[in-house]
Amino acid sequence: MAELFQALASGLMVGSLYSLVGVGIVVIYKSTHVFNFAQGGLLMVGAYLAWCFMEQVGMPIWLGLICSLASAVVIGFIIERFGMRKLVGQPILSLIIVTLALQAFIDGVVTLFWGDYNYLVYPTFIPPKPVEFSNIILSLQHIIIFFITMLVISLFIIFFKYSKWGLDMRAVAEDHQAGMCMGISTKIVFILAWVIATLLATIGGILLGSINGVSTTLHHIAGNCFPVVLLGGLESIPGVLIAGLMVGVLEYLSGLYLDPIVGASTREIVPYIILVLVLIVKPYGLFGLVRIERI
Amino acid sequence: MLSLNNVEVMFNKVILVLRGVSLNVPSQSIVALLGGNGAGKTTTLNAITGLIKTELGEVTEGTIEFEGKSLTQMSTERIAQSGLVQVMEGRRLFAHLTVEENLRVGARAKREKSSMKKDLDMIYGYFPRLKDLRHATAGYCSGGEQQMISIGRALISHPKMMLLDEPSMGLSPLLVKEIFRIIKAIHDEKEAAILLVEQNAPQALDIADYGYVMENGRIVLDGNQKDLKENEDVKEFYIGLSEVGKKKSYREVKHYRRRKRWL
Ligand SMILES: Nc1ncnc2c1ncn2[C@@H]1O[C@H](COP(=O)(O)OP(=O)(O)OP(=O)(O)O)[C@@H](O)[C@H]1O
Ligand SMILES: [Mg+2]
Repeated sequence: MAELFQALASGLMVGSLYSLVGVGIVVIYKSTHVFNFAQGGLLMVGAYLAWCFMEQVGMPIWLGLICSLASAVVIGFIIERFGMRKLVGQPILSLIIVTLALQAFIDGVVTLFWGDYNYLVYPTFIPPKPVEFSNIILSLQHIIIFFITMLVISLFIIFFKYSKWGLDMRAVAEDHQAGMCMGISTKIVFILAWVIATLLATIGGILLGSINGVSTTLHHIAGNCFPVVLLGGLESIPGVLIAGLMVGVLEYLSGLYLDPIVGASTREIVPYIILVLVLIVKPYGLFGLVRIERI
Repeated sequence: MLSLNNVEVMFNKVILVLRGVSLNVPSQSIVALLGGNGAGKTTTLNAITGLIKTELGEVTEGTIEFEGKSLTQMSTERIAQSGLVQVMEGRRLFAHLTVEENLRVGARAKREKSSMKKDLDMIYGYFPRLKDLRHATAGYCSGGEQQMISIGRALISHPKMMLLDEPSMGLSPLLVKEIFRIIKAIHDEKEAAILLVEQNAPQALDIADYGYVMENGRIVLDGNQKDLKENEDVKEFYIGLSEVGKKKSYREVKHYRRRKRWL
């Protein structure tokens, strides 16, 4: 019983990080129709930069965090302004390959600067204490991380749904030309999308780094974000949120129940199996937007 | 107020679509731009608001001026913010947004601050149906309702001039009448100039002060409302349209006219 609850808690924690990173992919996809394969790279850069600010530069934790978020904004801006903007209107395949190139570039830069260090840890800013409920022991770290990601996602949803800029983003997501005719600057919307995605990836990277340590394997988490995003329906923010939690929990449950039977680790393949099963039944994903077609 | 002078538009640097279009929309007037399918009406509007740039098109010759300022180098959003708003062909709503959210997006092009509530009420005054539908998903509204949203979305920014692209498309005759009545009312009350692109020539000429007829990327005929209505060619065009099964293309009418002239 205790094991089940621990698996659920860990699953929710990891799942919430999938959702957080996945929301970034969805935001970029919705407003620019680019599927960003470099989201995992952005997450990794964020994690390394935070380590760099706190340990190499020696900033206090709070300042290091602020600086990492600020540099995420700058990185997102630079990628859009000097990379993606030039490609607006180009064939979708070129755009996808450019994000793959970006991923490779980020890998290279990270190896160049921090390749010599292979396992880095932050100064502890989330206490790794256990909390006990009767006989169930949960990690306080996991609980806090879960609530931070949920808070960040909620803030983003509120921004997206109720702010002026959020409205601009949702409008442009549906129709670039009509948006321009209404006086919305698509450039600003595209920049916003990349900045938000980079910010979310950085937050995800720092949180993940604070439990797993920082290493070049970090971007593998994004490997699981791709099935999460597709499962959620690619264009739906509530969709990725739920899909992320679902995949996280199922991953840990399979680790708990399937691994002993199979005799090997099933965690890595579970998200893809779920994805295939769901897409067979619902080709648009769980919450994919149905095209509204009426004349 | 808006003037196009000998405008040529080329797509992909090879496809010449507008071949020297000149037209003039004085302030507070309604001007109709008529013509058959593929005449270049939409391209003319897209050239004015710069949307052709998103389709790899450019103005290669001539000038487009609004209130004395050249528009060819301005971005589409800046043009909208300066009070020249296009209602695109085919409504082009933000389908997953609610009716009211669509209108709120339209208000982004406003030049002066005014209360959103008042502006929304102004739109609901012209289109009472939209008030009941304001929380409905725009994509599921009927064709007529969608046309109202798309006009309301432009009107809410208090534009100095509206470019309406085929507002009658796909509507029943009764609804067409209703939409045109409202367009006329908007023009009279808001003192906005209107450039009205239409295939439905009789309806358009009913409310327009002046009209241009376009064909093959050129203006082939222009005149004030009365003259155009009397004009034999335009008349024949109407008849050609109304006789079901014997649709005459405007081009055939033109050939006939040219022959009459040159032979
Ligand atoms: N982006 C483009 N690239 C190449 N050709 C184009 C492009 N846009 C329009 N054209 C061509 O320009 C011509 C005029 O098109 P336009 O859409 O302006 O016609 P229209 O008068 O609005 O017709 P309709 O009444 O059917 O809407 C057409 O022959 C069309 O094929
Ligand atoms: Mg057209």
